[in-house]
Amino acid sequence: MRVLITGVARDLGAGVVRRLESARPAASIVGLDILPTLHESPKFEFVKADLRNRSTTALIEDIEPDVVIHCATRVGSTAGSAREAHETNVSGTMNLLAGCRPGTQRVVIKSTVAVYGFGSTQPSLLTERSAGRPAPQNPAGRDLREVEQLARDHQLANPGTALTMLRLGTVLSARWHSPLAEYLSLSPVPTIAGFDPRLQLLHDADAVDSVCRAALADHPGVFNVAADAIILLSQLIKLAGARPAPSLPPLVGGWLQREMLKRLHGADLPIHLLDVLNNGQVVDCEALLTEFGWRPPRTTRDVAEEWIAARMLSEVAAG
Amino acid sequence: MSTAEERVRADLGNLYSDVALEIRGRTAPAQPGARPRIRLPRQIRRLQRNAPLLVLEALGRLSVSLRNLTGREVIDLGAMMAIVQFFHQQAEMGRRGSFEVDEFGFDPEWTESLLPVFRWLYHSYWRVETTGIENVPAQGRALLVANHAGVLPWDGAMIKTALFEEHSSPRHARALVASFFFQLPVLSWFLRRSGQTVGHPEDSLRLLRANQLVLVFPEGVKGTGKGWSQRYRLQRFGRGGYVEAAIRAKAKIIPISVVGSEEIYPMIADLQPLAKLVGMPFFPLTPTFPILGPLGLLPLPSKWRIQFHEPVRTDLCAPEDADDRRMVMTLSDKVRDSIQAGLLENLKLRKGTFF
Repeated sequence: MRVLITGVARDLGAGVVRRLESARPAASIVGLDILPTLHESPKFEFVKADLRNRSTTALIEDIEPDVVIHCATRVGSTAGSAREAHETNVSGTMNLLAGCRPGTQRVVIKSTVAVYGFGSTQPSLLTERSAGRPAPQNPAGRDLREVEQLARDHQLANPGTALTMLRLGTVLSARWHSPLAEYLSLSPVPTIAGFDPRLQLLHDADAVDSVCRAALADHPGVFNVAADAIILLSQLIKLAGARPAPSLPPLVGGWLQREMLKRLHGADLPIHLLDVLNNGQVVDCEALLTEFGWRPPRTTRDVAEEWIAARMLSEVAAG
Repeated sequence: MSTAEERVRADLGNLYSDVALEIRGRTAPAQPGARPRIRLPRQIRRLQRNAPLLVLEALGRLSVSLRNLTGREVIDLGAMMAIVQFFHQQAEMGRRGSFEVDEFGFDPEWTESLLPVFRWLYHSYWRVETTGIENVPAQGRALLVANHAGVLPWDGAMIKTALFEEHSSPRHARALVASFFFQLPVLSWFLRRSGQTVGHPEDSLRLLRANQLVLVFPEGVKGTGKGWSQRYRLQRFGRGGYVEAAIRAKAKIIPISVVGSEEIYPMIADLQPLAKLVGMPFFPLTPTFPILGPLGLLPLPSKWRIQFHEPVRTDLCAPEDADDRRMVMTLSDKVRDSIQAGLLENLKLRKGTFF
């Protein structure tokens, strides 16, 4: 089995590579990224390529992968311009899918819960059917909705390919690049005055686990992936031993709040996370449990506690 | 020394120990890592610390001398103690380490800590008389459907209080609230923390399947925003979405008639242009609002009656009946009729609007 993984220089892609190397049956893995990776192993071959480039399609045709795992979609990163992220997401996915021959067994796409958009008219727990009502206004959600549509179109043209799309929740982790962790490390933590959103987190290992499960067996469909139960932002801040400061004005929209957070406090959150700080977001993982027979075993509180413990340890280590 | 005075002293003693506990809690050493606050001069800090104690002592003295003077209980020390206890409990709540909320953000412990306020409104302010509480099951799912009136949803609060005060096994009802209110600061978290959720069909179905009591007001803002001349006239019951949810979840529907809520804010006019401007569903003009400003938000002390009616059964319906418009609207009419009949009956039973 030949597995192609995109975005291997990033946290999720790198985690998936390490997990799949020890998986059975043994697979040969081709990793693709625009950034170099230091990972080396006999089963792993690295190709430095830019997905936005049309020539990458031919490269992927030559690799002839049986399984394609698309982890290069950009959701949480605020580095670079929004247009760059949009091109990576949309053009990148188009070029990747164009290179998948009809015999490709499986395609796994990393999507995000930001595709649901935000608003008070939504149900309290979002199911996979709730997407697009209202249409997402945040860049990551808009991009990934387009990516999901591209993948669906590809699957219609290639019925033999099993398509799995995983809408991953917000990862809070000390090991990964995590904008939420950066925000929660501020002191005091600036919150939006008069709001105490419900948060749902995801453990980095569970995110990797879900992608690997989708890569190793056919689970066609679109699934929410997030930890069980919720935590309120005020609870999370208290748990972390920090103090909240309701200093961001309410009702002014995520863009302005984001600018304030960036300029006054030096923390850069993607827009969809500011929407989460306003409205909160909780998804329902029933579909995942039914199809995979598995859901992230660590609860939201476990994720939070582990992150806090890791942060305390690193503080001690730093003296 | 008379025995009455001894009793007062004993009461005061209890009170002091409560307050002392509270103060000790406040001066507990700060957690390591917490940022030191601005320190006030020592005299002011001492005064600040002792202020509640001094106020209570003065109140106690005043109470004793007033009683000696008039021979009657003028200041109710019991009520004072209840108030102190309430604030003490709220302070405890703020300090508690970890607590669980459900997926909707409901915190039962915190909600119950607010109960004294609502209990006072229920018993003393609106003197609510509740009948038919035995129609609400002690466990398992049920959909409570009530008329909606009175600008602000005090009727929902009183129905919830009735279920906690009068029912043999106290239960929390989960009310569905218009999505508009979840956009507002403070309300957005207050509503969720106290057990309410968005009025979305998926939410009601999910709560019913979790064997909860769900409270809905099918009239919505059409009910709360209706004028004085329309009082106790039920408005249109939406599209009957609540019946669909009840059929799908096989939950009984329990109609509720609330009398008294119409008079708490007699609405003279609805200033629609102003409402459109600030994005509210309606802008009420009452004899006291907005002329008296925030004071105009105080509800009038009308006399209330709440009646829980015989359940309307849905367990005989098949799940696919939820898509049968005719069936849904027939059931909805049945619920509406029993609420309207209950309103008229309770209006007759109530001797006067305010007593």
